Amino acid sequence: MDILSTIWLAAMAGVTAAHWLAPEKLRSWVLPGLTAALLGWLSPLTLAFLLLAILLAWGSQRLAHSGPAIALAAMLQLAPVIAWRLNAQVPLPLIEGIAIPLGLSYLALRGMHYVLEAYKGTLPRHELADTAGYFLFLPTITAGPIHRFAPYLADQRRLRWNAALFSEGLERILFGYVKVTFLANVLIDTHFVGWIDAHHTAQSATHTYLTIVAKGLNGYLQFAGYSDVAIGFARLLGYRVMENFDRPLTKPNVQRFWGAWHMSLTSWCRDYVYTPVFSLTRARSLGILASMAVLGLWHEFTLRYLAWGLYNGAGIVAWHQWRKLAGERLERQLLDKPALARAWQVLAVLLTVHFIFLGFVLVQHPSLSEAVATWARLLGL
Amino acid sequence: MSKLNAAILGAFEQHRRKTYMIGTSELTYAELEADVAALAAFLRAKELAGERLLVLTGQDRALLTTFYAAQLSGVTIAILDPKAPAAELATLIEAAQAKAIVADSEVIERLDAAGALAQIAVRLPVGAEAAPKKGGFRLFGGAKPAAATPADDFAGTIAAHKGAALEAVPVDEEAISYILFTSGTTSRPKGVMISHRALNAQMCTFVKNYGLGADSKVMNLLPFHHTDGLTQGAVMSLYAGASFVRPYAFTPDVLPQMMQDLYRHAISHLVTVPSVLALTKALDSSFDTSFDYPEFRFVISTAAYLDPVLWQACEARLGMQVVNVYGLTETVCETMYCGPAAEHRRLGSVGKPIDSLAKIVDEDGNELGIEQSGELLVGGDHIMSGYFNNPEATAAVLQDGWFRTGDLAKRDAEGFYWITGRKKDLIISGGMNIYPEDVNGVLRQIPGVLDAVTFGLPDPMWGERAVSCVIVDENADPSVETIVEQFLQRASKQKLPRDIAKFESFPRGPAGKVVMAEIKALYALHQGRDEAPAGAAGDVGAQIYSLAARVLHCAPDQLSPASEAETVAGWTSLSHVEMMLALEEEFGFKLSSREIMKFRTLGDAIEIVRKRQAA
Repeated sequence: MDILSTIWLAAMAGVTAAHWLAPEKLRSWVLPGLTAALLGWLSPLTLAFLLLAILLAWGSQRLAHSGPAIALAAMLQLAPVIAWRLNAQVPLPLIEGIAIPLGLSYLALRGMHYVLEAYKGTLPRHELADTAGYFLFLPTITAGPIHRFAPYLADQRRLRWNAALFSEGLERILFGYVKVTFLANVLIDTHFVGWIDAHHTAQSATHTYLTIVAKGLNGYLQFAGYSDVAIGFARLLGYRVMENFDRPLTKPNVQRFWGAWHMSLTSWCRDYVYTPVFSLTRARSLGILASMAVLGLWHEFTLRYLAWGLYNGAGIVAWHQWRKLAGERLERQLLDKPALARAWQVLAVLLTVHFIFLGFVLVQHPSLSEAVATWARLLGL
Repeated sequence: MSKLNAAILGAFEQHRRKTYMIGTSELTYAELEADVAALAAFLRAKELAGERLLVLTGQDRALLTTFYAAQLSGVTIAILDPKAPAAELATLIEAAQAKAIVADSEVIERLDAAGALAQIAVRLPVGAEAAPKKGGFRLFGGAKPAAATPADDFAGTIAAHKGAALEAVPVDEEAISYILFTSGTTSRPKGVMISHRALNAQMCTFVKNYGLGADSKVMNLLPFHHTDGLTQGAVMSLYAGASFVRPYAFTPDVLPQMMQDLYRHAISHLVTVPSVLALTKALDSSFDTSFDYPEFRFVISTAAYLDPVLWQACEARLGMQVVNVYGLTETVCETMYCGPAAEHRRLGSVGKPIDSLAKIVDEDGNELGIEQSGELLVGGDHIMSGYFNNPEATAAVLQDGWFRTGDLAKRDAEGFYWITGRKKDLIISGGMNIYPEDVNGVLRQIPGVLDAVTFGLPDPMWGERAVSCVIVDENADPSVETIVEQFLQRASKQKLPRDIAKFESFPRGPAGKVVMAEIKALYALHQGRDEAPAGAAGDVGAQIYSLAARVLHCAPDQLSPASEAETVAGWTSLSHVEMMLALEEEFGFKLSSREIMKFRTLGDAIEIVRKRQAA
């Protein structure tokens, strides 16, 4: 169910209309009901997994006092996506040849979040219907953001027609489509890439460099556009879903970049990977590397994604080291030299963007050796 | 015509089609105007100008109709708590010397049975409120016929005068708009008289300082027999042409509903008391965004001391501004404002006087300088005219145009005022004023109680709580339960002390006066075991703040339970580790994984340590 598909556009319009036209008493049932109906029609398997996740989440909430039960529930939330990720590498019985259910990787993270918050005892008091409503939330089902339960419930409980929010929603959806269709598909992917191909010899260092930049920008615009559409759709329905990007390409270091890129995933990794690993080992670098490795593997169970995660994790660890050894001192020294400080800031942003874009090379090619070859081409080798 | 009446007429004229009140049902300015016009015609016909009219009703629409009709007719309105026991009301009704009463039917019956209404000829009983109209279809037949109302009750009177033109009789600025009683359950009551001039002055200040306009939506669930509910809600909304939201009275169990209704009604100003803010601490994280919408302006905290830690914690967690205000029933409502303007805001203070004068004096009435603590005196157009029929009490507090607040305060170099204590004998518990002498008077009336002493103690939830020590007759020896039961028959629940302790004798000074410091110490000894954990828990907070300040290199007073990495500059992931290690070292335990995952804010740390210590 791509956001560019007619089905998605029709679903947004239809669900929004039905949601607001429904009598107030029935409204909280309209969205989960239509989400279930739509998924049941498009992909019954997806619906089945969603319903399982809901029951598992609700059950785990009842057993939240038991550590082992929670660990089991969390693993079960994660199991389907692990199975399909493995299946993509080594065909598994039962699911061999069956396409991965829609948004399964996002469902796993929402499910883990719910179960672990139940364990921490921070879930607001709620009913089974609220849990179902959280999982059957159409705007974010296929491509995030990985929104959290407590804010969802707050919005659900105080839902009202809000013209300003609705118009913001329309605006965000428009921005999203402009990012995806015009900026990414037309400007970058067609014109910029076409220009690169026309003016630079293929395989040359310049061609390679510009292609990396084009792919980086394209990736950002595509993903940010998808998030805009999801966030905008949620606003049409009166919900405010967490942001996913905060101008990541303007950040002066890797840590800040990852705090601004796919924020709903990075904050998930911070809360449910970094913190527990850190609490067990008391080693921060290990926590960072583990988070980034999980972040990579969440996309795909392959060596290249693991390498990509560790590459970025190492970047963050290195940045912390640099900051401790020299960075902080340098920043202090630049305090009374505004011109130099600005120049340093620009340099830092450029360095960060290049580090990130060069990292993307790892996952833009089917194998690691090809990625390394691309890096080599940049150096004219 | 008084400025107040001109403003009332102007609001009706200008905002006819707007909603005035969202109560159990909606009331437009035009609907209110029609009721007010009808009741005013009745009051004129009864020639009640210059007289007093009692109001005791739980029905907001009837109360507000009566309030505005009384103003336009030059009638002084005295509002009492309809839920108070007949014995307490009888004293106040006698003191008010009223000619007319608007009250819930059952209240009139109750008071009549107690013989409290003998002098009052004009009575308008208010029947049960009609159920709000329901939408949807009625399948069979038309609307049910409304229950027949006797023509001489409140609704009947309004119906009989429906269509009367809205008129205001000439009313002088000094005419008394309303009387609210601040004390006097048994002794001589103090009825605060507020003139048309004073009320108008205060309303103009409210509208200006709070930035109220026709777009504003004010939520205030405080009772109407308190100035905070009446003037800083219903009346100020009318002055601004704003809407006033009050679908239910406040009780702790409506708190979640109230928080959800903020956004639902797009409230711009919430008027509440510190105890309600303290209660929000118990709400789960799904309420953190309750104030996060563009229409919301700020919270106004009134009626009691606002603890700076609570103040800061609420603002940080809920992402809103709390405007702390200070005033008394005698100053209409408020006299100092800490915000919303930045130049009026200093956390922990009561801000600066607006449209009013203030000075701090010593025992002899000499004005004191900066940072010197003394009694706070205030002046201005919003000061009361006096206590009704009580010249001695009036003379004790109104001198040369200044009103003696009985509160101790100091002014800092930048003109901010800080309340430092209280000179007068008063306990403020959850925003309710409790006079110890009132409570003692009630207790002494109870058979078997020989003497009573009441004082206030600090309380984390209510600001202060009232505690009474009693000496009982050995032969009768009434149990505490009996005393409570007897108390509630004589005075309202709000005045009931939180604790009653039986003593054999009171420590007395040479003149036979009870020595308060000694009796408090004896009481603490008495309660020793119960008091200890509260003190220890308070220390955990202080201990954690000082520990965090050390690790994060900041001042402890910058920290609050809501402090977390995002709000404290020095709090990085590295110092987070240090914080955890420091916590483990300080309190001598190892944090579990669950605790480490939960630890995000200093409030979390305090909770974790407290749970550990309790276990």
